[in-house]
Amino acid sequence: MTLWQPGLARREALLDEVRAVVIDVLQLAQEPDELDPDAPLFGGGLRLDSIDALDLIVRLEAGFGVIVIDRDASPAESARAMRTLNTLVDRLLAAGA
Amino acid sequence: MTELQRQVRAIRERAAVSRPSPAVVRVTGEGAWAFLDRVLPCELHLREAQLRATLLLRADGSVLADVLVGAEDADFWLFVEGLDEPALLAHLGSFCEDGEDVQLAGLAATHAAIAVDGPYAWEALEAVGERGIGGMPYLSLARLDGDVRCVRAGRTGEYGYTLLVPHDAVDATLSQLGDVVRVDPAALTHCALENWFFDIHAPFAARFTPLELQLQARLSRRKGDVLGMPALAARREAGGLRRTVGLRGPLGLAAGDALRLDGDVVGEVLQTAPWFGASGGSIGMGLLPLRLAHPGLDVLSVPSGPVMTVSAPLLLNRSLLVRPSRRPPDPASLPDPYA
Repeated sequence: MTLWQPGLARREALLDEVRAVVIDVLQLAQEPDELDPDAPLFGGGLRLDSIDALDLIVRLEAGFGVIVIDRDASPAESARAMRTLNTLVDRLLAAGA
Repeated sequence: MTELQRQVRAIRERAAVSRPSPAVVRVTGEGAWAFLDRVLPCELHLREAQLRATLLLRADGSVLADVLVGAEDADFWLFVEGLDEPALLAHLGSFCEDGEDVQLAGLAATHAAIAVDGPYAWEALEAVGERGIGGMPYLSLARLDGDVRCVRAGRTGEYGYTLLVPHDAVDATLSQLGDVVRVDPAALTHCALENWFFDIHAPFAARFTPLELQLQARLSRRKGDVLGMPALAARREAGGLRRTVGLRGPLGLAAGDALRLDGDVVGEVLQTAPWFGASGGSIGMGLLPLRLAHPGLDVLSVPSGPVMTVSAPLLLNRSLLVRPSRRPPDPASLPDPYA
């Protein structure tokens, strides 16, 4: 096993957990692997609205015990974190999940 | 600064105009909904003036065309990239059943498209349309005076609008848009890659299915009988799937490069572009097996040097920080999209 594999495995596990939360929050009929990690969360991708986004953040923060979006974060930081499943996973990893 | 960089900066920082050539078809008749429900692999429960992004697939599941479908009164509009109007009409016509009340009408004979993209595109647009038109919701369709329609979509990650204008009004419309930089398709392709928008015009696009291209949100599981969907189900069942992933690498990163891990070929580079941020180098789209297709992998290489996988989109769009309903911020106060 080379050095990069533990980090990759952690990332894959987090992605699966985030997918499960998104499916639950949005009540989606899709299987987890049908949620592409770089698809936009809003607009033409998973079509979240602002209420869904708030619900998703609350669920992730409760589930992982970390702050996903700091209440003092700049609009740019918040926007960067909430773009795709992968950027959410980036944020969770940076927050210590 | 190169000409490409100048045009891309215009899209990223202000507003830019281009002349796309989508195939636009209006679908009318009592059977329009049932017809499109049979043809398109997405759900068709659309509110009035709402658009949905979907695809047309080939029988093997590969992507034939990039589609926006919209509802207006009892009619539907298709805005399609990847097929010209005759090819689109022929493709759609092959699904018509005898006696079905469906009419297909192309718009090329009467209308042309003008696109405006950028964080201040809405401001430019309001010089053409009625006040407030720039604030129309993402993925929506508006009917304007003078038989003009406006589509809010875009593929640059910035505010994007496409106007469908009668041929005899094109010059006047371009003039009304004012001093907006004119950009080439190459600049839009560059921006699509930076923002990870699907680009049907990319040379590799026709080789792959929505499973590789991360376009599954444009499909519905309920549409298992639509052309191409059985092939996708079979591919999922067979396993061994690959997926696109964002790349950062050296300036020499090139489409077609083999991606190597410990000397073994594990994937390929599909598309690249220069990175206009201070760090330089290239960005790209790679294709890797699912087990490796995650951001943060820093042990890959191509012939010109090491490559790292990254999360897309690859930059921060100013359009996320600018609201048409509020006083526009001083552009100098906004963060560098490439920081």
